[in-house]
Amino acid sequence: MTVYPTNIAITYGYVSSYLAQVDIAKQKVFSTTSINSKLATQILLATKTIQKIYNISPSESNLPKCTNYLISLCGKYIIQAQSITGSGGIVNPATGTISTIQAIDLQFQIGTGTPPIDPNTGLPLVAGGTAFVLPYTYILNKSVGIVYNGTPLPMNQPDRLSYTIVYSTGSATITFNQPVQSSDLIVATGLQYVTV
Amino acid sequence: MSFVPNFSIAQTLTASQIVFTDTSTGSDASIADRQIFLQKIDGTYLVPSGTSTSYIDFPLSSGATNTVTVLDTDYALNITINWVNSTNATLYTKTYLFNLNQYSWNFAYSLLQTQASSPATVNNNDFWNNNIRLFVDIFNSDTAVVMGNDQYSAQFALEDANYLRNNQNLYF
Repeated sequence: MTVYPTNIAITYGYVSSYLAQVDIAKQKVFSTTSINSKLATQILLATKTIQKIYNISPSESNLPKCTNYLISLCGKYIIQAQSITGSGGIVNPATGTISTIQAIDLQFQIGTGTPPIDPNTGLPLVAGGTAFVLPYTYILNKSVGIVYNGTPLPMNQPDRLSYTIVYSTGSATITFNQPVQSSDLIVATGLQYVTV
Repeated sequence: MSFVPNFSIAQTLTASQIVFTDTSTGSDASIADRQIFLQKIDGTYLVPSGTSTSYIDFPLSSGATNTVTVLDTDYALNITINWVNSTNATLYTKTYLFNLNQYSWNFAYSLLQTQASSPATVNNNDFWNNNIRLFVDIFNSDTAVVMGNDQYSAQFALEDANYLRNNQNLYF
């Protein structure tokens, strides 16, 4: 089950409660299967209780357990609640926070302006260097692509110009198998999670 | 600048405590002390054990905030703060009705934890019906104060919530 932050779960709880109320009313008319007629009330009361405690003490030790219970009550209504509240439902797996995905597009030329940092020197990348840091947090794994002087570069090809990449939560480090030259144009594209 | 008396209160998860904050603006050099009165529906005053006066002292030296451990259960209280001079004569006063129901919320929270640990608990009709009853008490006590400024009705609802909490072995 996805772990939601308590403040997000509270919002979903309120929306899920009214969705459940309408849905259950419809089921009572059309369905022949067992119906949990308490569900909307359960969701609403759990939401209000969690909100009351969260507002006073957001780090109260039992809140995660109760939040997970609330999410389990919301069940199938969560997706619709996410849509209604415009939160999209994308969860950053590194932080558990509801996020959007944004494009990364970094273009620079060796010897011109201020290229990104070379991790081997701690200074902007210059001719002769082989690596640079893509300075974005929570980059999606395998989302980055490199275009070098107008040509998309392959990864891990020792017989030609290529690169390797190491992703971390705060950045990604790109390392070429050949030194860059003055005036080389490098374009890095990718995707990152950005907290809503 | 003229003195405009005002204050707010808050409760923490420690339901026995009230946090008073003096939010007055302006100044008056004649003010020597502050006195807090917690009046119950029966007209008597609630004070911490060992207090000989009917009020709680809130000395200027303590700053703007004062945390007092005084509640043994939930109450709807008429809370007055008097700003007094050196002879205890009241210079300014402010009164609000507050619903202090953190004991009930903490109890509701403990029942929610029970449900989280054992979801089938809600299938017990006694548990569920009395859980609903507790929330009706909580919500009605809030509404009576906020919308009706009605201490009697708020306390009436809280008495039932207090009863359920004090006899939870019979009802949950």
